Amino acid sequence: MKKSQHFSIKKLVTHLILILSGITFVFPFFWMIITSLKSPNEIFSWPPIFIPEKIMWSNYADVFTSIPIIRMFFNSLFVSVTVTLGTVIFCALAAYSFARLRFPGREFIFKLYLGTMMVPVMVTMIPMFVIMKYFGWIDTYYALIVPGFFGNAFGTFLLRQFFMSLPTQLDDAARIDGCSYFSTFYRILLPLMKPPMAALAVFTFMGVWNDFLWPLITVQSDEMKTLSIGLASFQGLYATQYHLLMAAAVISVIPVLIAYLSSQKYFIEGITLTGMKG
Amino acid sequence: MNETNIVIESVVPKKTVTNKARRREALSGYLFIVPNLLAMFVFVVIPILTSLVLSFTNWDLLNPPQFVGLENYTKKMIEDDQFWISLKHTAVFSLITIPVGITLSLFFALLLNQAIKGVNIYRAVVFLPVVISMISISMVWRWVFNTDVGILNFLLNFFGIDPIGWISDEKFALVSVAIVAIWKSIGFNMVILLAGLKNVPSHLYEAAKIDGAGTMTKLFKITIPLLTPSLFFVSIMSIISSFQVFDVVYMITGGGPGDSTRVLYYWLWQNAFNFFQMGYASALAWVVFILLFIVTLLQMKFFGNKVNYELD
Repeated sequence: MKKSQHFSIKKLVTHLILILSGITFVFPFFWMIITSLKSPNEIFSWPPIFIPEKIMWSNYADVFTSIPIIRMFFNSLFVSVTVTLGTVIFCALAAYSFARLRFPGREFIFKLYLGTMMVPVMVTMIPMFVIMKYFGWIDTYYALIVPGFFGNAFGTFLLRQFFMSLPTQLDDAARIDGCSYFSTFYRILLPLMKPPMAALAVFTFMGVWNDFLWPLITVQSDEMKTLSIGLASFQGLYATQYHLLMAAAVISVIPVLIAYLSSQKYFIEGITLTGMKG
Repeated sequence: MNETNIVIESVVPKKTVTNKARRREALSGYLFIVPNLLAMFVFVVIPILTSLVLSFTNWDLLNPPQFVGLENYTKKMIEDDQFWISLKHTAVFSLITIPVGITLSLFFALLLNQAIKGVNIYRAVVFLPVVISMISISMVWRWVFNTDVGILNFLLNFFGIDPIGWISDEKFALVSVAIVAIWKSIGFNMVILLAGLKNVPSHLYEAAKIDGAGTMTKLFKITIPLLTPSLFFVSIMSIISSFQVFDVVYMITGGGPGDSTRVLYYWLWQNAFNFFQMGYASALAWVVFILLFIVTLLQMKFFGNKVNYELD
């Protein structure tokens, strides 16, 4: 009797701590939404107003008219989806090759490829900018899409681990039935790879959607701006109009929130997998 | 069709067939990795080499690069006050974010490793900041930090504390930026630590319980030692990301007030894309990379030999 009481108090304290800290994690999002619905006067009032007197949906309409947020939204979506597609396809192909096919230099190439993950972006950033300039790709979708499109070491490594866990008898059976290497990959193994590929896709999508530095360097015109740099310049232009800034921020956050909530399982799985390589 | 194949195979000596099959396998193997490797070559290998070459030059993007030898690494960097200031800020930022961040991550991982009601919801809440772009959320934090009408000073006021210039006072700005960085990274680290906690066998706790060990003893004698691989990974990732902090500084303080939040990566970016000193910026990048490399190696030396615990 005494024991169970002790336990319930411990649990109660745990819940209390978790709820209080949970508020800290969620509060900025709550404050973002609340501020986006306030009138300009309410924003600067002291003490701060937690529930706006009149909900100003018109702030959202103002955002649509004052900045090209639809275009930015489209740019972000287009770039993120394209890069994600390319990354998943090419990483899967290379992962299959590294995991299953034997060819001279395979281990060496794979290690070299993994080694490139060590090099921080800041080292390659300036030459990448110069290469984009040389290609004439500055301020185009090419600069935003092509460098990430053909896969990366991280994704290849992630999927390779999964290919290695599938039994080789599957390949052998397919080969005996006359499948080529590609159709063995495509028809037999790929259907079994859906969970890790989904994890990689969610990862890549969020990474590209939230990327800031690369578009900051390569994009100049308003038409090519993605949401992240669009918002940054918006912050500079409308420094005191926090109701508009927050409305724009809410719009930019919604797709990622939806993606996160609908694929939470894959996302957490993906991070757990990155931890495995340590 | 099948029959001819069989005939050919029986006629041709076996070794040739396997050679041929092997060659075909190798060819497919190469074919499948070509897109990745080509991209790696153009977008990683060439840039690395170019960056190294550029770091020995003076280049403003307009005129042809001038070879200056080691000058960027020696004279220029040594005399560049802002380099030393930003180095110091990066170190301070790392020394705040890494210990505090990892401790809090461990705290939440331990709390959320228990069987309690709604554990998945709590985990999702802690993880939420990870997925949101630093840009959008920095805009809110800037508003939260506002000296005059910010919610944080309202809270302080409630407890009778005088308002703080979170991002307008040089003394606090770097700490404020660090708070946002920690807040955003806890969820990521927590997930990795949770995965590590799953591998701690429960029979150890049962044994400890029989021996009469308390909560703290269990934590420091069982959990943390067995968690070292995950803690090691988390600390390496934290160092890498704190050396490369940029977005949050760009959005919240822009390196100010004064120079108080100018970190290495920000100074590098300013040199490259505000002052167009491509050569010097490249040299800065290599210095940061080498520093990062040394810190990681040191960490492996001091921490790494404790990483692998044999169970059983």
